[in-house]
Amino acid sequence: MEEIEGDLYEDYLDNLESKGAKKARKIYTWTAFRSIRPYILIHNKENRKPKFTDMVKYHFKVAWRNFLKNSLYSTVNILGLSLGLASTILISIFIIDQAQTDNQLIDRDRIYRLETIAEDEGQSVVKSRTHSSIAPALFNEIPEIENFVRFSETATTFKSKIGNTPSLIEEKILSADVSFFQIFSFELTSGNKTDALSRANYIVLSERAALKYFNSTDVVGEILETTNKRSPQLEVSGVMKNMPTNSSIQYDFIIPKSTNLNPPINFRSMLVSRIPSYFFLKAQTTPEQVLKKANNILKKYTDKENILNLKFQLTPFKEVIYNMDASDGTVKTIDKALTQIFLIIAVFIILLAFINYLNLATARAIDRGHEIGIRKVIGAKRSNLWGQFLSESLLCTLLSIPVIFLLIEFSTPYFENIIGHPLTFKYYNSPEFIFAALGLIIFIGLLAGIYPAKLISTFKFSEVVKGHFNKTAKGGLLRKILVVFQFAFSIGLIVSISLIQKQLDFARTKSFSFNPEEIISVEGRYRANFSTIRDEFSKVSGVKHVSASDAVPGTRAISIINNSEFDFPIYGVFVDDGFIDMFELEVLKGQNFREVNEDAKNHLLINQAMAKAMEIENPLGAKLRMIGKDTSRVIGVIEDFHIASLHNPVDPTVFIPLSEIFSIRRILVKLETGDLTTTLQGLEETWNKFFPDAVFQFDFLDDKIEQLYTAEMKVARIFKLFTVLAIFISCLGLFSYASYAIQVRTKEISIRKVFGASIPRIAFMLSRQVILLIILASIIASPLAYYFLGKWLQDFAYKVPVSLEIFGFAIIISVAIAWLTVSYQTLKVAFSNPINSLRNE
Amino acid sequence: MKGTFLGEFEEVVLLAVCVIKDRQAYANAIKREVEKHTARDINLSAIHSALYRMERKGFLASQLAEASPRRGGKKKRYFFVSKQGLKALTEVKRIRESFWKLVPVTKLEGGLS
Repeated sequence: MEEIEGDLYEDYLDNLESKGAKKARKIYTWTAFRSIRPYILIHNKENRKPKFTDMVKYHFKVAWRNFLKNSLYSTVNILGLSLGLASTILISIFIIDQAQTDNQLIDRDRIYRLETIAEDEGQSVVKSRTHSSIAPALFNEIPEIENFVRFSETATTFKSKIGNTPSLIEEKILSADVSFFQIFSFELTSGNKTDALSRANYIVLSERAALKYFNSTDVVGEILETTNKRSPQLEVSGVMKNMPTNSSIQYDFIIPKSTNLNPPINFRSMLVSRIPSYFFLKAQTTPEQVLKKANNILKKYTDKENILNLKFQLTPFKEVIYNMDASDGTVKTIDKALTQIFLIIAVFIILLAFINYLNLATARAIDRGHEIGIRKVIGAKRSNLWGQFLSESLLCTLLSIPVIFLLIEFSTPYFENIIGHPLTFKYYNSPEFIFAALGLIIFIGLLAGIYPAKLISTFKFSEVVKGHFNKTAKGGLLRKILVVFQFAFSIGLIVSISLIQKQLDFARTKSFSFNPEEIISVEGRYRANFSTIRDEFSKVSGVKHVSASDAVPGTRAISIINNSEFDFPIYGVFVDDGFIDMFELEVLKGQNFREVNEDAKNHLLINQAMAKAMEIENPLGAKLRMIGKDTSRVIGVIEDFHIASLHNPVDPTVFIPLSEIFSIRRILVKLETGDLTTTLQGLEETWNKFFPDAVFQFDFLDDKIEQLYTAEMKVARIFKLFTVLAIFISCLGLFSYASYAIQVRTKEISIRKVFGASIPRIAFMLSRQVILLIILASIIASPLAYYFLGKWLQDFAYKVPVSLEIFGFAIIISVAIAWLTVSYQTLKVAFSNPINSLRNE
Repeated sequence: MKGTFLGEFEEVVLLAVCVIKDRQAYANAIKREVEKHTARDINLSAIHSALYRMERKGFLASQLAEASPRRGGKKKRYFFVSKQGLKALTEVKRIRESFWKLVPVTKLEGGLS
């Protein structure tokens, strides 16, 4: 390099003399340009000192050779690391995805939900639905409220012309005030935001829905026919883009609730409908400014105490989605606890993988004592050794990067299935995320290299080289501790998943005296005709029993009866006389409806919880006033059973006999287990006789009950996945630990064999230690798992006991898995011919 | 074989290195020598590339030497012909001569006149 510069300069001076400055400069430039050639860079043989990069290159070369030499361990190592990191990254994607919910909404910060707070036994209960007149009333009087919208979910059955055969399709629909699109910035591709919902027969479709029904997105003005008598024809007034998958509001159809901005305000009506209401506040307005005026304003409209005494609060839309207890049924909620569980598990999984890695790297570092000793003798400094081990660690990490991203790619669909919704956040579109992920991967890799490097650089090498060094002594204890930790975690997870599963099974089926798998609930609007339908249904072959009720286990909507006699809320369920038999309930006192003929309309059944809450010695014959009815008489007490989830204790409930004046929502049919298809077909034919325009829809009760526990089921699925992962990673760790421990003892084993030890004896000797470690792990894990599961179970008012057999099961499982893991190595050594390992001596 | 082939320009440069006395053959001197004998204008970079290429082929060896103010204080690199280089040169010469011997004298005279 230097000499060429010199040559050029000299040449320039020569030319300056002979050819003049201009030409010389020209030649100089041209020559300099031509001199940019690879040989200049390649050619620096003698004036070059070894550089830092040379050592790195060299380290990588050695690392690579080592990798190939121990390809089994290296693969195990990389696989474990990749699994751990992949799950952590996947979980981060999930958490970011959750954090990005609704971030496409413009002015989201100005949207608030109107909620009321009620005091219930010292606890404040937030209610997300408010009287439908409150929001418009406040909007009229408070200038800081720029707009309001109320919306709720309904369902409509469309007459579809998809294909050639006309069919009926029931769809979930959002019924919203005209202002909906002005507040929630969902995009319309045709139609306009101000009057897309301005007429009662208008409907807005998503592009997806438009394609489904019309095979085109240019459908403004088209007519959708419904089975609804009041609005048989709906005119498409707009097409909106499909709501983004990360939106917490997900509907394909929107119809108007009220078509003008000043809906009637009416607090007098007995029919109180409660509905989620949202305010859009003016910029720079705080919710407090709005709330302090609220109660005074309502005085203008009503003097009803129960409305004037309401305590209001405004919750930012951003936080609405996290309130699972006060979900309003239209906005998809997010379980914060789930995110926390995820985070905790992610940390543990990465810890497991990290431990594995550390374990293996240490074992192998010690294995290479001779190599390191000689290196040091030749003149390697401590920093060189550090460099070497860090490079090896880094190489492993780099190799794991493609594996990690492949794993993420392949497991994403499975993961989405577990969390129950697709991920909107695409990591490959976010360079920040990729950099962060790569950073994490490399950081972990380097971190894991530190321990073996430190261990190695503090060895006494003279001893190692002389052969005095005891291979298992150093780091052996640490590795045992790590294996114990890994298995403690795995056992903890096994215990947890078995208990969660048990509790869920208990909640779904075992807690009832009936079998929810054989009962279906047929939904509809039954009025006076319900008894006829019931009778017809009973005639279908395969039907055991038919009953009707407006609430069944698995439904949340239970009406609350306001009764001034009692200071606790009473839940009312309308049932027919077959209800008790349907659910195989025991009548503890008094009798069932059916057995009393006169005046049945005014009879009541109560449950035990109600009887207890009434604090009357003999509740039979007690008189209760129910809404809009004359005084009713309690004729029987039935055992408590769960309508809502097991999280809550059974509420005091009154069972009111159905009469012709009420409409009823559900007919329950108990089926013979056997030929279900024929029975269901028979039911559908009967149904079509009564309701030719409606779809026969039914749910099995166990499915409905399951819906009460979606959050728990998700937790269970996540636990299952991560239990498998944790066990797998731990087994990788154990596998490498065992094979190392056995490898070290190969000669000892051969000598034992020579002296006549039997194969089972040797296999036992080798497995013993591993089994002991696992048992130690279970001793550590059990109390911890007991403690945490106890906490989890506290959420349930009714729970399965934490029994010893769960722990026993977990321990047996893990010992078995552990034994299987080490058995390959153990048996291989036990069966090997001693001559192979001894002939070198 | 490509590695040991001696090109025409390379041959001239190599010869120039042989000609320069007192082991003082560095790029500029070589350039001047080549220009003198061939009456061609040669770019310095061409000389460099030939030199370094031949060094890689093993025809030349080199050594860094003193700097001079005329060079802006930069060192020179002196080149020496190696045994292999000499062998290659003689080989080329031998091939040419064996050809020359076969060319008929008449043709030579006719061609030149």
